[in-house]
Amino acid sequence: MSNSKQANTFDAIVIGAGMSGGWAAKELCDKGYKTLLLERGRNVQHLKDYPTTNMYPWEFRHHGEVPAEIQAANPSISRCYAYREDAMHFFVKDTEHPYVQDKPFDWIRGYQVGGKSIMWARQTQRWSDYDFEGPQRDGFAVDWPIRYKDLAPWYSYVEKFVGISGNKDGIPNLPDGEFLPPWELTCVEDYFKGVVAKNYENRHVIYARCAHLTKPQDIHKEQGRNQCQGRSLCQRGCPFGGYFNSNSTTIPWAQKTGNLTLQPFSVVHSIIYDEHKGKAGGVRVIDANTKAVTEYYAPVIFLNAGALNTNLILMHSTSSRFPNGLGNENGLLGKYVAFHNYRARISGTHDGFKEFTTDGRRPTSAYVPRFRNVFKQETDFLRGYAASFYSGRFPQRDTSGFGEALKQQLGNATLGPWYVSSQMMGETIPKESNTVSLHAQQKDEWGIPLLRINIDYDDNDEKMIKDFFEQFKDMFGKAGFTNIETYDSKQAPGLDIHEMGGVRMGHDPKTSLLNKWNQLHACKNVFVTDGACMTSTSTQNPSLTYMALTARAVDYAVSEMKKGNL
Amino acid sequence: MNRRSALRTLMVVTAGVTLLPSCVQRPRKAAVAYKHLQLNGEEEDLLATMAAIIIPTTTTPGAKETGAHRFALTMIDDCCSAKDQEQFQDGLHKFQAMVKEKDGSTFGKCTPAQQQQWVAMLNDGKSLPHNVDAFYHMLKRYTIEGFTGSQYFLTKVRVYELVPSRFHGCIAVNKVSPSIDN
Repeated sequence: MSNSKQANTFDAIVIGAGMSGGWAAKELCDKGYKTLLLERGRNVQHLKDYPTTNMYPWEFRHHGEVPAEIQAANPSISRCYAYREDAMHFFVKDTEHPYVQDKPFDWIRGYQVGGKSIMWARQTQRWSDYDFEGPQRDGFAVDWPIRYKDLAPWYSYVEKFVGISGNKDGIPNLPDGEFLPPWELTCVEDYFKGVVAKNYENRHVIYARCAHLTKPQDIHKEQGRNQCQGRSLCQRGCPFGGYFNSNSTTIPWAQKTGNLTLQPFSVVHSIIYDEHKGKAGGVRVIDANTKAVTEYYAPVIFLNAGALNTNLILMHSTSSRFPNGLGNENGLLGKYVAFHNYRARISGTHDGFKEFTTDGRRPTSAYVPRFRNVFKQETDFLRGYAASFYSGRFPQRDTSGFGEALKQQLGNATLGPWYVSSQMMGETIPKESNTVSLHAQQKDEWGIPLLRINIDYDDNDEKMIKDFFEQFKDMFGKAGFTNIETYDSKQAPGLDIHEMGGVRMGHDPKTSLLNKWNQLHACKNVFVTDGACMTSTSTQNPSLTYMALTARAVDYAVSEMKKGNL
Repeated sequence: MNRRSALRTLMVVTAGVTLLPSCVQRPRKAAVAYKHLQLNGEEEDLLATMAAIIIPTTTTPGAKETGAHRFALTMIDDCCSAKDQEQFQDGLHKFQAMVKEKDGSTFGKCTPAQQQQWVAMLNDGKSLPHNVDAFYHMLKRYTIEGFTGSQYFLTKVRVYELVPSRFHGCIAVNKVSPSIDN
């Protein structure tokens, strides 16, 4: 081996330093493997690179708003709720990294060390067998090659390290985990919980489990993280490390082992297939700034570039063995992409509890786990939806006057009634026609084909929205909420930021790309453990599941390496 | 300077002078460089005066001391659509014309009492020329936002806490400090 080749050889390579890539790197380094962690964007160091984290509202030139010219030039990212003046530097602008929308798709990306784990909504609900068994029972996609029992210990493993605040609720379709204490529910959330429990079978209103250190344990202190202070400014990066992101937790942990080489500005061109060895040999990387091409080598590769970019890298990794993309023998790579349906919202007010309010801030809300079609099929659409449930009182100000009268009013805000709202989080059915693919001509600055995205809602989604409105109007009505309004944002897929699939797991190499250990069936030393691996989407926010799948896959990869099987 | 270039300079200067009507004063330049809005110094003063009438200085700071009118112009210049900016400018010009027609003067030269009357009329919003209402309400909305989002307001009137370190989900209203911006 030449010196340069030796210098570029590691025990493992992880592509992507976001939510799941951070976990892959942490696990590999913990187990003593010299790991190269590649990130296409810049480095973001915990504390050091959170420029807005301690800023007061008046310190922002536009008090949070994104200027009109930036919005006009970047319509997709500007539709993202978190793309605001305080966190916009963590999001990719449409103009910086274009893609081709065969159908409208708002692709929300964070190209930096930490990826979208910096700005995520921190919701962490486990899957159950009612989720894993969905495709098989209801006859769509393919059967998941794993069940809850396969992942349960890894959920626990990840939860203890991340720090999850929650209640043990004893709900069969939303298993309990390893929880730190919850924040309080509001009076109205508690009241609604009672109304729902009294009037419906198997419907629950619970505290939404979230990745916040409400009571740091020794492991969190060892990570250098502190108790969550309820700032609810998480998208800026947290000076306390109060919520989980890769920057504060997995990546510094991996660095402490001395086994990590973190390399930002590294755009992955492709995974190199070694025809001689019959497996992947390494990764071809383009320097984001100089465009210099370098190859890196390792016996095992974890691909965690973010669901759609993971698809892109595999499609772009062609060889004579895999002319249609690495591991793509059945032509299914880039197909059966799905997402979460977040279009529907309902709001109202509650006239009770006038003498009560909330005090301080809470970085989560209440949650209504899926109740439709859980134990058996009961509607004219497949699957179902979970929902957030939020309540709070806002100050009301009379701004009709001017002069001293107005000034007085502005200082004497009175509390409005309790405002309540729910947002639907619907499962979508993966379909062969929902695809991503490489554009035949158009390329980016680094010579890599642009991604074409061709993803849409279907009739099942429309029926589910209708049902959400009906059921929640009924539930809100039973609670005596008034001024009930429903709203269909008609937003394009993508804005849910839960795009999944394209490299799905399954039992059979003929109908899936990955096996039950997240290995490519046809190229066993490549593991995919980000959103691309998802066979179906269920309703839960997916990051916790990606992290658990990643830790489990690394454990398996290490045991296979020890046996000399990789 | 040689003779030829001196002659050229003289010609340019003369041409400039002859193009200006002799009795019109050049409007004073705006103090701030805007990206889209076209405002002169007099108009800036008008907007500042108007903002100070909307949220006056009393024993406590008003729009003027909190820079609320500057914030309003920043927002209209940076965050409003081109259509809204046109409405704002057009409404402002029509308002200036109204003042000129009725009082034969500029808003700046009106007495404080007259200025108060003008703002009362704008705030009332009845039978105003096209875009004047939009102009006034854009200014008012952002002046309020600038004032209630200012350091003064968020530290002295309704205190914004960067680090609340607590959440009570159900607390008696009278147990919560009215000066905390929850």
